[in-house]
Amino acid sequence: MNLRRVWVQCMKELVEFRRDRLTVGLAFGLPVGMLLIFGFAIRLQITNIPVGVQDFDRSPFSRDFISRINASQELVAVSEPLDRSPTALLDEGNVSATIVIPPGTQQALEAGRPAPVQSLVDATDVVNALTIKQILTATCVFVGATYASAAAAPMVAVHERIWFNPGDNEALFIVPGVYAVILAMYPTILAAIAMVRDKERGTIVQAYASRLRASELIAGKCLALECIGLVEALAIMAIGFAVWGVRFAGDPLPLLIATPLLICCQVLLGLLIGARTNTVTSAIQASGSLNSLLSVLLSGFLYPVFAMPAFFQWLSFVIPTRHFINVTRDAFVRGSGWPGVWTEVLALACIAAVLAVGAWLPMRRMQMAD
Amino acid sequence: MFSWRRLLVLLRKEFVQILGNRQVLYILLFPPIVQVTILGYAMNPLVKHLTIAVVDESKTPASRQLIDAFTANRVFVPQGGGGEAASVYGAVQRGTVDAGLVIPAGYAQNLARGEPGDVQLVFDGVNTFTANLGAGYASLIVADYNAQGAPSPPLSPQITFAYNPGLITAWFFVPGLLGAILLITGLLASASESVREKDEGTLEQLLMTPASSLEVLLAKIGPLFVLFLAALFASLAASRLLFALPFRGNVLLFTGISSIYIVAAISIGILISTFAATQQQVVLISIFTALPLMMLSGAFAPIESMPPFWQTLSLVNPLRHYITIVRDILLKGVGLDVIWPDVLALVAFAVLAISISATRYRSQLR
Repeated sequence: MNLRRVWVQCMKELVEFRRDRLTVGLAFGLPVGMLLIFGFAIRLQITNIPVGVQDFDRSPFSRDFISRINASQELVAVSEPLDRSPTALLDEGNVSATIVIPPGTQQALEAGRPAPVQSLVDATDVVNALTIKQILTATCVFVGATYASAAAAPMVAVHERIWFNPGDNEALFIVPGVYAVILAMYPTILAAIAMVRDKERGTIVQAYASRLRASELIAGKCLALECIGLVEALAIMAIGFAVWGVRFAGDPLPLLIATPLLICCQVLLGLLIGARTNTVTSAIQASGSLNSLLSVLLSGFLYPVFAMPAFFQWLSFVIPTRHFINVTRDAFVRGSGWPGVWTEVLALACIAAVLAVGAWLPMRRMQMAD
Repeated sequence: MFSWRRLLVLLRKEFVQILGNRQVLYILLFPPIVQVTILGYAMNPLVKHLTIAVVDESKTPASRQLIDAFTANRVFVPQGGGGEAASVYGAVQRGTVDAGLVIPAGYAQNLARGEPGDVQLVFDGVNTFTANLGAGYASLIVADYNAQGAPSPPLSPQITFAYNPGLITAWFFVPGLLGAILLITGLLASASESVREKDEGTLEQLLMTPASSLEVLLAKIGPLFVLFLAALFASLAASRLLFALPFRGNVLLFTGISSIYIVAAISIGILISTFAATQQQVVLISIFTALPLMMLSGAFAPIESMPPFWQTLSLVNPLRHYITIVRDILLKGVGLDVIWPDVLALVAFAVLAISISATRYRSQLR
């Protein structure tokens, strides 16, 4: 491999990139915009689920019960007219559950008779349904203890604590994940287009005719896009620090090594897609829809990888974002440094090596595909 | 003047162009079906098998009973632990386990004296969502455990799960995935197909013909529309086979609303292509449009949890309305009398998108 030719190829790509002003603007503006939208808007923690309450009892107990539900940050009680059927209320979809407090509940409790509170829960959203169940159970235990004549004292009192993210600052969880998603997306698309554009315009023939080798062509393009990707990474991490105060929690070295590695993986994936497809449309579809969906949804960005079926857990090992997300979350939230993440960095390096070979193979003869 | 004959001719041209390119055909049909099935399987917010390190300093039958209650349902799986409390806290800190449970030495004595036994439970909060869910499970487990000894619980909720009694998560995700994938592929395909005419210089020829821009646009929408409708029903069939996804509502109503939605997605794509000059720009703008639409739609992250400003903003998101409609029709089986506000929003959106793109399509050359 001739390093001078790699360098020249890299400069050519950068010049071509810079010439298209709109693309330059988009390549940096879009990631920043996405970071701001995702960072501000995405919250997984469940809050403010509306639940309809039909209070037939109208007693101090039922008022206590409702105010206790409202005191939880997950549910909001909405008073519903007593003559509507619970099923119809759910069908309309304005509330996620209906709770019926039957007449005489307080008297029954004081007399020591069992008093059922009925609830119909919309289980379309399974997480919501389970949360509602949990809050209702807890509310019944708490309020029931106040009103029942012979309440048994709870046997076990659990003191729960959630570590590393005190104050439940969910931005600290979401934002480092968004870094990974953005860096998985834009460098890949730019790389796929950089590769396939030459093919579609026919200018790749000039490269074929020159003394340039396949490895040099790929290394040159990779280097150029790596630079663009690194600038993107720097920009979004700086904004993450400025807006949400996301700062290093420990040793920054693993992140400093993993970031160029991840960008390298994604660029090589883009080049591989570009080398395999012949038109920009298909390259875009492959890199855009497949890659972005998989890296958003299978990487653990939203839902943890270990909750997936075993097969998909194995599959997610080859998704670079999955490893990088662990590195960013460690660097910015947990701060355990090398002992926690060295396997992730190693995995990224392996994926990069495999992708490099994958991109080189279809190009190695430097000839048009038949 | 609108002419059906010209439209038919143009439609034929577009069909031949799309069907002629095997790769495009494959890429448009294959991913929606595969993605819906794969992600329907894989996406699972219900965390199970959380690893928990347990330290039992009490070493009594009572403490072992509590540990059994925690690990019986496989929600928590014991791993490591056994040493001192400090080592458990260390394991949670390094992230090697998800949670740590410490039962202090005086636990059984406290219980015997009729006082509550205090135990410590810590969660790794790096993933706030999982930690909160785990904490929720833990409190249910403890409530159950406490209820065991009591004569009969004074107040008990009777909870019935409607629409999805088996709590199958795929039933929740598939409608969202259908909408999101149709949006992403529809938008990308139509945007890149129509900017290609510009790239290759054939757009000028097309605009020079007597065909009106509405005719040109409808012809562009035609073949993609047929393809995506086919992909939609194929994905539905696959989810029915794999996840037993019910179809409780009216099929005709569903087809009609899905058609409106697909036209809306394709029109947004064409609208984007009128702003961009090259394929590269078109993709960047499309992805940037599609991803926020996807994430702010309630498909994956709940709308109720967003800050109020974003909740209001999501009202103009066609995906949000489509997902609500699909869940309502498939799972709840309700009709137009309930979903009309969402349908109205979707229709308004489609009409707006198609008329703006028709206006802009003609003026692109200037």
